[in-house]
Amino acid sequence: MNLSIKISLYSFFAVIFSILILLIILNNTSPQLSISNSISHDDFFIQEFDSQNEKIFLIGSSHVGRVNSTYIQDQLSLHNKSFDVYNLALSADTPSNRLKSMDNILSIDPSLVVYGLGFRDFSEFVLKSELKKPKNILPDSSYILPNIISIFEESFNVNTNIFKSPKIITIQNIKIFFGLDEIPMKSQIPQKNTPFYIIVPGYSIPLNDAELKRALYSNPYILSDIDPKSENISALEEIILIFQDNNIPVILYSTPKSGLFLDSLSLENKNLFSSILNDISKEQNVQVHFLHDKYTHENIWNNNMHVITGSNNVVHNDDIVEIIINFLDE
Amino acid sequence: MLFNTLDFFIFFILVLTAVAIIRQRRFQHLFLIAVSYFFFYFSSNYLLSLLIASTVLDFYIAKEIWNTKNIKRKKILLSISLAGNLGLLGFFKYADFAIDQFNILGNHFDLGTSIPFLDLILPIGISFYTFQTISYTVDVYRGHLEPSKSFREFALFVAFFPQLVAGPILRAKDFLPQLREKLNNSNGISKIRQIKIHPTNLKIGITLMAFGFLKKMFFADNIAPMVNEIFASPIGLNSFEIWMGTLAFGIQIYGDFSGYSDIAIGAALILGFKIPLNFNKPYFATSPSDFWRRWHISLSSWLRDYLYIPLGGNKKSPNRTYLNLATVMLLGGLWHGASWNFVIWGMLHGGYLAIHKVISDKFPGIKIHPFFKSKFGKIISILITQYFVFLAWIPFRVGDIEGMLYAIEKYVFLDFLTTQTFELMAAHKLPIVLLILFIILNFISYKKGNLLEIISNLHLKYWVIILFSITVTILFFYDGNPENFIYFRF
Repeated sequence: MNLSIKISLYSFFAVIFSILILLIILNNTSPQLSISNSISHDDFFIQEFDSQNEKIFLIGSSHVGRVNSTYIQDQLSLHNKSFDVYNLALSADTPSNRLKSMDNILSIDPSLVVYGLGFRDFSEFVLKSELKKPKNILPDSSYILPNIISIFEESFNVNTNIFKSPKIITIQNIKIFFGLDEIPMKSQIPQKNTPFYIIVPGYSIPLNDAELKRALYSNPYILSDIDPKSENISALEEIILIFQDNNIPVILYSTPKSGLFLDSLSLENKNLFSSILNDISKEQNVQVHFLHDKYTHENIWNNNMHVITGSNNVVHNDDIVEIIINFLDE
Repeated sequence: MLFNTLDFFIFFILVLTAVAIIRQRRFQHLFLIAVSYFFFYFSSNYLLSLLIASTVLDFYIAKEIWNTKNIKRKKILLSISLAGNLGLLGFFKYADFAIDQFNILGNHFDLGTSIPFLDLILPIGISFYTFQTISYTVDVYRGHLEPSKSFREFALFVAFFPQLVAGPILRAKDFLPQLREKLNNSNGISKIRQIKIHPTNLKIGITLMAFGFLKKMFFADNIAPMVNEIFASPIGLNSFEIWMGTLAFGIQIYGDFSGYSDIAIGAALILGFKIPLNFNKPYFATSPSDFWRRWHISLSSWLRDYLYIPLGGNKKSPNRTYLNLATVMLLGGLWHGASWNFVIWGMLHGGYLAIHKVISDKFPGIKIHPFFKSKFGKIISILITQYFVFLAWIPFRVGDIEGMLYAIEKYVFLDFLTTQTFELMAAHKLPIVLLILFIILNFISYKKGNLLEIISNLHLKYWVIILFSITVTILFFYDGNPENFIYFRF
């Protein structure tokens, strides 16, 4: 065989063999990925709920995940309002994604749904470097490969997401192998009535201003401009409509953000976000509460987009309690 | 297109396959130009037109310069070429910086008006390909180089995709003869195959590319989060954190840029083209001038040949030499970006070179002194040189002037806080392990000579085991959020 072809084949197989090993190891040793991505909604929804107790559901993404459902339930009961409060937040959730699990939520027939929404629900994270790319006047060739991959994913029902950052799993496996540290899953704090969002001890640690600034500037991602035609807006309207058709009232609220984060957004985006929620509120007759800029001076930030969990953050939980109580009293 | 993406992997395999299939030299060249333009278009879209404009301008102007006997006309033509290329570079890279300075000055004198920014997008690679075309035209003007007779060959020299966006900065005298090498050897038979994938080149090229990917994806990308966190807002950090950040950034930028250069040189070598070395163990330099013979060699030699020497080099008075060194490095700093921090970085290096020259001139015996010839003396020289080289990385990395001055102060005047130090180490275990590993590997490479050659000469079965180990290491520590190559933005 020609030596060049031999070298090419050897190299090609070295790469393919490396990928195969990666595939095998990732598939077998990625507990945190398999848990966070494959929590079966059915496991939660098929359980026997006490039909006597009225239920309140908090829904939204990780921003809502930081709300303490147990605390809210206790506070409501102090005000003689007996409800089982469930926080059904899901990391990186969007209205379009939530729409897919509406049947499950309706099957439990909650008395009230409190939906937390943030800027990310109507825009998306993009790499800062991508924003500096020239605006296209010609077809954008960089979409060719992602499109091919997505066709491949859909055709063969393959999830390539687990290969997007093998580093975390590798480090975790090294730690397990050498018995260096507990893996993140073991250190999660069980949160009653919060089945889909994992709370870890680090979430209760507030960052100071310098740390928040560092975190903001070192983040390679930035929110893109809000798209007024985002499919998530129509999905949100549809979700509200479905709840209303089933006589389930809905309250919307904007999830809290740090002052630094808000300062990094343009005025147009902030106004557009508020006007989207206001329009939906008027058109669909739902309450909307703006909490996104309410805690900018509070020391409750775990990062620029998430408040801390635990007893040091009562203020945000109290506001949610107040919103619910006011609604129930009306 | 980033080298460290699946896009490039597929692109490169397709290019190699096509080059192996295409049997005629002319079509191979045309194919390489087409794929190079596609490579550029992939990330820069319509800005491809600037690359083509620069190519057309210098091809015809250089031809005219060569053909004319009139010195005045030669000078006018050269000025047009310089104005075209530097105008392009200046407009896209420095216009907003100049407007900003003008507005600051206007505010200072209460002029009450400000010019709006142009908000131009910096075309990727513009600093590299304009320098390539300038060197070509200047070499033709000086009579050091005969202009290319073929537009096709010249276009390939300017756009050759492995080095297009971040160098090494090619010289026409090194590259163009390679395009005609086999043609000349075959007495002008034009149907000869130009590009033949040679097994030795293939093996060394793949090894170089693997090393480049390892430096970039395993070391630089995994060290980057620690650097980003430290230097996003350095105020309030203690000396240990600043030292760690500086060391980490020095290694990150070396891994990033020399990694890119290795991939570029390796890819070119597989296609049968030799691109000169861009890095030669710069962190073992024993003096500032030695550092610039080892770091970004293609830029430092360009600055020497097309700026330092025309300014008079060291042929005039000592003071003029020091001024020339400072001017060249200041402009070299500004070449990296339109920002004061790069100017400060350039000025620092200009200062180092000038001071080193003063010391060498005042104490000529120092170079041959037994102490500096000894192992210990060499270690001391390396440590002193690198202390200043790493100090200069602070302004390179920290754009905010207040943060930069704070970090420099903490770098120079030591102030360690134990608690913060342990917190930093606990939060960044992987980057710290990688820093130690990188230093050890560099030391081995320094002691053992050319590691690349040793690995490339291994028997195929041992070589493939090393290739496999490198690939596994890269894949298992792939970050998921790859950083752009730092030099892409220059």
